[in-house]
Amino acid sequence: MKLGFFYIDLGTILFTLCNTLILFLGLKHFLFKPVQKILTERQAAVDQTLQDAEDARSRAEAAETEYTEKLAVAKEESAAMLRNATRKAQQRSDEIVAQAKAEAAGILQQNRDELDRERRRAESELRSEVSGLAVLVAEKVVEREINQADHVRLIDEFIDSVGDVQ
Amino acid sequence: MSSMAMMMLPKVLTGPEELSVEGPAVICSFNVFGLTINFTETVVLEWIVMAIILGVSIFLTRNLKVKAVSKRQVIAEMAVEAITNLVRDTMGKRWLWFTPYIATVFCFSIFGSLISLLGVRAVTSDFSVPLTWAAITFILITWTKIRYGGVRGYLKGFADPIPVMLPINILSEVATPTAMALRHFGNIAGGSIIMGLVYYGLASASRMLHMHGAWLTVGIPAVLSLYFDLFSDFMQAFIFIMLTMVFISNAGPAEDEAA
Amino acid sequence: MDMGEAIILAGSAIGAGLAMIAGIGPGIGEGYAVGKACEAIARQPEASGAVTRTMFVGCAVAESTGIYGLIIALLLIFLKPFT
Repeated sequence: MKLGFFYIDLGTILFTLCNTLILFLGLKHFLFKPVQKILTERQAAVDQTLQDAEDARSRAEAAETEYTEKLAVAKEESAAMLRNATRKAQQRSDEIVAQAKAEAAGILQQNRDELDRERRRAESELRSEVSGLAVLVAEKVVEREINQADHVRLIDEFIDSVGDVQ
Repeated sequence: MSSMAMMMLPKVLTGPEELSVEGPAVICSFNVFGLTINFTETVVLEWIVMAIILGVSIFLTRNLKVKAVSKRQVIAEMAVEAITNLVRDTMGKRWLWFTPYIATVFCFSIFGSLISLLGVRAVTSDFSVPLTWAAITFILITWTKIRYGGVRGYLKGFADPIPVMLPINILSEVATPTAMALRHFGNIAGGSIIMGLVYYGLASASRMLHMHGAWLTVGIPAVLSLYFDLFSDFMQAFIFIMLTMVFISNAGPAEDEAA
Repeated sequence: MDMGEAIILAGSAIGAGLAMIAGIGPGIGEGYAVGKACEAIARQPEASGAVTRTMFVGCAVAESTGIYGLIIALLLIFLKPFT
């Protein structure tokens, strides 16, 4: 038995309704749910990757800033150290030079003093010798005994005046 | 002589002897509460179509992976995304939960029509089948209208803009699913009748040319079949789901109002 | 075949032929719609997807009248409802 070509059949409608419902649930369960789950997971993975990349970038930026700062500080420090060292060395060399100069001046002064002292001693020796000599000469010349003390005084006066003239 | 030879050939090779335009065969029928419930050929074919669709979808979604996807998975994802995008573009975001139903009707319609390529009746050339889907669409339209406008708003919609329009509004409300069902059925059934006519004509021509077997029916109908089966089946399935989506989403308020 | 049945069949065949005149309307309408769609795509090629989709739906709706005619014709020829 066959139905008509253009025939509305209640049984077919009911069965089709059930079949459509079953196919709907089947497709939802077997196709849409797993695929959408995978798509969501992939989206999450992509988001995670992007987030990680963003984090890594910000971390790298932070590190770069930090390094730049550190580098600047280090440069500053080294420059300061250099300046300090230069200054110290300059100071030291100045000190050394000054000390050397002072020493040299001291030595010079000492030598001068010694020389002076020597000269004075020589002068006084010379003076006493000269005065003795003069007394002797005068004794010889005048052949007369005069008071030794007077002579010495006279001659000293003479020498002083001579020395003044000189 | 020639008729003797044809008698010995199997029926497939001799081609149709007569053109028959009939509905599906009834396999058995029950009597429930005085109603005759027919279990027809169409239902068996529907089961085959469902088995094919579900089998394909299970095959495509076997061991899905997030990375290093297989070709099967790419096909499955493309199909799901294509239908999801279609629903989103046509109906808007708040109807996205509707996607599996649209996919169901689309697959059912297209495979149900294409099964005629195997030499059996197309599921959709039984008027009851598109009528069922159109009825579902009608119920969903009504449900949407009541959901967004309330029962009063729904009933008031019939007297819009003036009460005189009441019969016309009722008519247009009923005409929507009827036209959808008739369009789908008419296209597929008309196409199959035209293909049947072509086969019948070519088989008759073969007989007239005293061929042993209907050799003219080899190859020639394939060109017509491209339009009447492949293109028409695809277009009708597409148009059916498009109209379903448009009618249902138009039954609710516009996207920005609802949001 | 008696005379009455013959007249009915003849009338059905003529009716079927007349019913297919309904094909003129959708033919003109769809041609017009497709022409307009071509113009629209030429003007805005980036909207071709939406235009094509809308055009197909419009064509489908326009085609309904033709399909009704076809169904009536098929009924008259193959089901012979008046015999």
